[in-house]
Amino acid sequence: MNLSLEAAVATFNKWKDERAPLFVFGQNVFQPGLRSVHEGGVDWNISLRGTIAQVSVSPATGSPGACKVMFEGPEGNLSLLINACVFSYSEPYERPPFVKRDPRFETLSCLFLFFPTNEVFAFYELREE
Amino acid sequence: MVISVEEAVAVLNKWKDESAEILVAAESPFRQTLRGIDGQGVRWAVRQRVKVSQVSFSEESRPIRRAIIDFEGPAGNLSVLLTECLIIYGDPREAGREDREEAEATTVSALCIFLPEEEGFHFYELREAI
Repeated sequence: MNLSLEAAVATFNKWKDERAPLFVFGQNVFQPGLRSVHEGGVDWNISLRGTIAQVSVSPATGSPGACKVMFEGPEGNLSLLINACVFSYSEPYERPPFVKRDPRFETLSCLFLFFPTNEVFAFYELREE
Repeated sequence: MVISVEEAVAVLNKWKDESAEILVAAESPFRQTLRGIDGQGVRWAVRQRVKVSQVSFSEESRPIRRAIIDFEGPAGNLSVLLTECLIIYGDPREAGREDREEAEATTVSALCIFLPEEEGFHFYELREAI
C-alpha cells in the first residue's frame, strides 16, 4: 500500500511515541529488490537496530518543508530527508532472508522509503516475542 | 593520498586482524566535507561504530578489481563494494589546522571511499579508549 508523505510522517511519529523497536535496512538501488552486496547488483547495504529519535517537519512556507527522520541505535544513527520519497507500507512483512534474524523479535510491518535516486531504506517494526 | 583497491584491501585487512574500532560516517550526496542531514541536498547520513568482519578480494577479478568489505557493529552491519571508486587514505596530521588536534587525539588513520553515485563513506580508525 502506497502512503503519502503525511501518512509516512504519522507512522514515524507513532513509532517514536511508542518507542517501537525497529530494524532499518538500506541499499543504493532497489531494481533487483532487497539483496546483499555479495549477491551482486548493489554497491552497499546498511543495517541498524534502534528507535525513531526525532521526526521534524518544517512549517509550510509556500515551498515544500524539510521532513527529516532521525533514527538512533546503540552506537549508530541514521538521518533521512524524506520529502521526495515514495512510501510503501506492508503488514506483515518478512525481512530479506540474508539478514540475520534476532529470534527475540518478530516483524510486524515494514515501511519502504524510495528515493528518486533509487536508494531504498526499509524500516521494519519489531515486537519482542 | 589516493590509493588503489589493492592498497585499501591491505589497510582493511590490517584493521580486521587488529580488530580495530572503526567509526564510519557516510552520506549522500557527498560534497567536499561531511555535512550531516542539515547540509543542503543531503538525502541521508549515517554514523556507526563497527569493526571489519570480512574482506573479500580476488586477485583474479580483472580487468576491474573488486572487493567486498563487511563491517559489523553493535547497532548493525555495513557492506560496501569497492570497484570503480575513489579511495583516499588519510593521516590525522593531514587534517585542517582547526581539526588537527582533535583528529590526532581520536584517530589513527582514515579511509575515505567515494562511490560513483556520490555516496561518501569515511572510515576512521579510532584510538583506544575513545
